[in-house]
Amino acid sequence: MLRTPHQLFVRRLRDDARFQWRAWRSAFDWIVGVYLLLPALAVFGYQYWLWWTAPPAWLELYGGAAAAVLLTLAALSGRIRFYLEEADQLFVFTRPAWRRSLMRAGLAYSAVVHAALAALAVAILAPVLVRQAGLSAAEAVLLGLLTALLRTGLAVAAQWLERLLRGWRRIAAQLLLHLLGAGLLAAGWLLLLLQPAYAGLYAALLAAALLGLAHRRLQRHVYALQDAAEDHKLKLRFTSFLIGQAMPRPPVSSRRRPQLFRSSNRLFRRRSPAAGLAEAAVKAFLRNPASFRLYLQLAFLSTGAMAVLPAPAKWMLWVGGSFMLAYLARLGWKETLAARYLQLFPRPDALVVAAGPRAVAVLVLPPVLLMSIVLGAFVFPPWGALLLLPAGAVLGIAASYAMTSIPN
Amino acid sequence: MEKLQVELREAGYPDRSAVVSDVAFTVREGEWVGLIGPNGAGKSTTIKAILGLLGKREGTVVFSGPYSYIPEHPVLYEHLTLWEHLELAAAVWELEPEAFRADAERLLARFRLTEVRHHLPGSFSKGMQQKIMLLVAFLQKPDVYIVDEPFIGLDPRAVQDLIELLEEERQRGAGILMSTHVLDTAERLCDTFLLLDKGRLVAQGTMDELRLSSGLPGASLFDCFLKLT
Repeated sequence: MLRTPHQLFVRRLRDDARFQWRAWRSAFDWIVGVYLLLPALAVFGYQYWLWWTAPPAWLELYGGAAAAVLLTLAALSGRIRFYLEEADQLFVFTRPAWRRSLMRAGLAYSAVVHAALAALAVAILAPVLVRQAGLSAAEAVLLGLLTALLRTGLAVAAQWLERLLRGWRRIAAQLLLHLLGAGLLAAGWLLLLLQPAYAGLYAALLAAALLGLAHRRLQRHVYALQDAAEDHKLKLRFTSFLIGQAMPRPPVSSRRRPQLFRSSNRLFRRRSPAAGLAEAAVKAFLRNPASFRLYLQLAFLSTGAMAVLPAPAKWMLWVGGSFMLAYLARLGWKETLAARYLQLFPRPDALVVAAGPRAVAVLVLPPVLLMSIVLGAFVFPPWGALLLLPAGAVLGIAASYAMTSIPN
Repeated sequence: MEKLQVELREAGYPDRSAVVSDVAFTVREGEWVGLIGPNGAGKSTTIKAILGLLGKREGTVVFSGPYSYIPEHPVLYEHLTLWEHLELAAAVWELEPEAFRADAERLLARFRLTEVRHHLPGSFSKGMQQKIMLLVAFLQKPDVYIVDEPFIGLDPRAVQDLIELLEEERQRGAGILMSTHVLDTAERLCDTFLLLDKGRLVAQGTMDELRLSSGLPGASLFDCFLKLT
């Protein structure tokens, strides 16, 4: 029975959890997961134990900076889900108390999720925070609480700004908001290090500010439809990337021209069915903000880590990172193949076999070659970069063929 | 000459009872066939079964050559421009580049989309998105057009352009299978009709044959539809 907003919220939460689980279960590649994820977790577990018992030199050198960067990113990257739906305009939006209750519950639930994520981040960074920065366990927990409060408050503010502003004004305002958020977190960290007695008071002030901001936000009924649209987008954030266009929905974009290849520029000079399909896959991948962001993060993280890791780990990263990049590109390729637009055409298997490695290789080669240059420069100076470039090309192409030959 | 021969004993979704049974018909050269029926009669399912898009299909479907399918709702890539959708179609169909460019420019102009060809379709109205589906279908010169509810979302001028283009293609010799609810337009355009109800063909033939089946001499397609379904 759905007689109260609370019951409606619980029902939506349960439905959403079921939806996300089904999507992950149907789309997650368990074979690759077992082969890549479990060894990665085992290696990370061992490394984590070493961080506590015998921290490596690089952790001593860069651990504090890395922890600051990661917690700042955690504080700045939150989103709020209000669990509103478009169909709510038929009934729920006509009863302000129901709308507010639903949104309040969604905001509270988002805050709890943010707190759990902040706790996880602090737990992972605990060796650095406790051993190097000298925080006590209670202070580390307080740092997690500050991160969670900022993540929630900044998410509310950022989404509000998105409703109010457009174009460069929105970008400028969000940049300022991020700077403010980073500053507030840095101030909290400094208080913990220098005046820990006041850190609790600081957290209380942030919590009060968050409550005030949330209260005002919940009064803004004029954004209800936009909030519902964003909820829908956030609900599909992971699943749309995982299962592509399996769910029929019209493309929605406020942007008229794409930022990349603005005049539908060609990637391959020679036209063939395989080149056409591969080109579409590469463009769709690079223009999708979610996949592009993930691609850049993985490319820069791998290249950056290549510079600081010890030599044996560099080689492992070179191979592992190349295959991870190829796996990510493969997800984009699969999304292109699953698109309903392609159902308009006959699609022989030979075309898929020819186009897949080409699309994946175009995406994989630039970051793998960059990693190869850094690896060669560090391991075999001064000419190693040149030496490892062809090897990187072979590795990138091999990873592309390997990843596209895995069934489903 | 027969452009499409369909004999569906059963079709539907896997693990479910059949949605469509015992549907048999042909679309001949230069023939415009209307597939009509009430909501839920199985029109879209029949089309999807013909295209091989359903998990369960028993029977035979024979195309004499290439076909173009215009779906009821636009299906587009969110991150490809209008021109890139056309280029992808041309690449997969292996259209000759110069001919493709000339045809594409002509069709873009006809549907008044030339100015927005490098725009993402997500910024278009639903009607404009549907026009892209038409453009793609007309790019190749297929033997058969399979058109699912083509008039939904189109403005009157686009409807007129679509009818004219389909008429030109019919005169070229293409067969057309069109599912629609717009019965007065169907009566005006189609040579023969397939009347579907609850997944089965309840009548088929020319307008005169439908009148005979319904026992309503001189009746409109609308009246025959109401009588037979």
